[in-house]
Amino acid sequence: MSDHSDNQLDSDRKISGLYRTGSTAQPPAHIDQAIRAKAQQSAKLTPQRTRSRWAVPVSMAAILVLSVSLISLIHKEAPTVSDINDDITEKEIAPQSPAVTIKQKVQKSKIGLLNDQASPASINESIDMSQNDLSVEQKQQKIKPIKPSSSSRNNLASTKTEEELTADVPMETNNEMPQQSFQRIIPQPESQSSTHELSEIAAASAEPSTELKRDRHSENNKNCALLSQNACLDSEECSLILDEQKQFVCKRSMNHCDVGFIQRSDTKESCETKQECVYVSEPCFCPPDIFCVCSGDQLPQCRPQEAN
Amino acid sequence: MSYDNNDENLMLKFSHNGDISAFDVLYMRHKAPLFRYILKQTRHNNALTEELFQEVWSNLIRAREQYQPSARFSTYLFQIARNRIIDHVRRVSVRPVSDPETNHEDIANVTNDNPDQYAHNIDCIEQLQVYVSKLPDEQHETFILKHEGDHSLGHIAEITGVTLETAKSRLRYAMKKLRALMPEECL
Repeated sequence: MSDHSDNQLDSDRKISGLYRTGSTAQPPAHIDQAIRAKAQQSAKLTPQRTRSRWAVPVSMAAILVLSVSLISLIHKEAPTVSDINDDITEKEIAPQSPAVTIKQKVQKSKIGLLNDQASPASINESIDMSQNDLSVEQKQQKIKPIKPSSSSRNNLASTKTEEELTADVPMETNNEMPQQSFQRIIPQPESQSSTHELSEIAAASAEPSTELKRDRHSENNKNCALLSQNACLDSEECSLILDEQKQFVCKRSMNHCDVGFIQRSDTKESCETKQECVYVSEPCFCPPDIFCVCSGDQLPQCRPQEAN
Repeated sequence: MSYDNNDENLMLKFSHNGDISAFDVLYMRHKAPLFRYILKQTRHNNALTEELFQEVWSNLIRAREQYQPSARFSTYLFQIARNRIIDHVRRVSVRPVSDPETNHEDIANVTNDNPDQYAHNIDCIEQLQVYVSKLPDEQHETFILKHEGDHSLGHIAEITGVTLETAKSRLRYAMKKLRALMPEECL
C-alpha cells in the first residue's frame, strides 16, 4: 500500500516536472513595453500621498483653532445683561424732547455748582446752552416750577419730566428773580428704572393748563387748613407760610395780591402785573418735599406794596 | 526576499507612491506565470492571451489605489485574470478551444535552449499538454494554478472561490487522470 502511494507521488512529481519543463511561454517584448509604459504614465499622475496624508489633519486643526478663537471673540464682545438694560434705558430716554438734554446739562451744572462751587455765570452758560436746544415755542414759555404729583414725587429718585426739568432750572438764572440759593439736590437716576415708571411719570407730568388748574384749586382749597403743604403751595386762595416755630402753616390769602398767586408756579412777573403788588422771595426758602442746601426762609409771596 | 520587497509592499509602493521600480519587480515576478495561466486557459490562443494579459495588467494599474494588502498579491492578480477570462468566455459564449498539437512553441523553445537535457522528454511533454488541455475545466484550472502560479491549495481555493476541500479534490482527480493517461515511459 505504501509502495503504491510512493509510486503515485513519484508519478505526480514527474508529471509536474514535465509540465513545468514544457511551460516556458513568455509574453512578447512589445507587450512588456506597453504595460510598463502604461504603469509609468499612471505613476506620474499619482498624487504624493505624504502631503495629502497631512492635509486633512492640518486643515481640521486649522478649522478648530479658527472656530475656538472666533467663539471666544464673540463671547468677549457679547453684551452683558447690564449693557442691554443700559441700551434699553438710553433708547427709551433718547426720543424724548430736548429737555432731557437740558436736564442732563442742568444736572451737570448743578452738580458742578455743588461740588466745585461754580459761579452763577457758569450756570447761566449751561442754561443758555440748554435753551439753545429748545424750539422757539419752548423758549417763549416761561420757566416755572410745577407742582409735582404724588406719583412723580415718588419717582423723584429715578427721573424727572420735561416740566420738572424746566422747573429744575434755578430761579437765580432768571434775571427777574432775586438772587437766592435755592438749590435742589437732585439724586442720580436709578439705572433700573423701567419703561412703565417712565410712562407713568410722563403721564403725571402732562399738567393741565393754568386756567383749568386754577379752577380746580378754587374748588378744592376752600379750607386752607385742611390742605396738605403741597396742595397749599398750588392753591390760589391759600398761602404756605412759616410760623414762628419755623413750621409750615397753610393760611387763607388775605389780600388781592396773595389771592390768585400760586406759590409753586407763579413768578415775579405774574405777581407784579397786579397793581401795587410786589414779589417777595427770601434767599433760603425750601418747599416741602424738596431737599435743599439751605432752608428756613419764607416761600415766595405776592404782597401789597405798602406791606413791603 | 526581504519583508520590504514582498509583493504586497511593492504593490503599496506603486499604488500609493507611484514607485515604478516596485511595479517593475512585480511585473518581472508574475508576468510569465500569469501569461501561461491565461494561455492555458484560452487553450493556447495566443492573440486572445496577449489581449487578456494586457487587460489584466491595465486593470491592476488603473485600480491600484483600491488595492488593499489583505490578500496575497498573486492571489489578487490571478483573480483579476480569472475574472477577465470568465468575462471573455461569457462575451463570446463559446469556449475558445485550440488544438494543442499545433501550439508547442513553448516546448520548442525549451528544447532549443536545453537540447541535451530535455530531448528525450519532448514527446512526453507534448502528450502531457494534450492531456492537460483535455481535463475538465475545473480540474484544468486547478492544475494550471497549481503549476503555473505555484499557488497553494488554499490560495487556489481563494482564487477560484471554492472550499479548500473542493480545490484539493479537483487537483487529486486531475492528477489521477493524467497518471492514467500518460505512458509509463514518461513517468
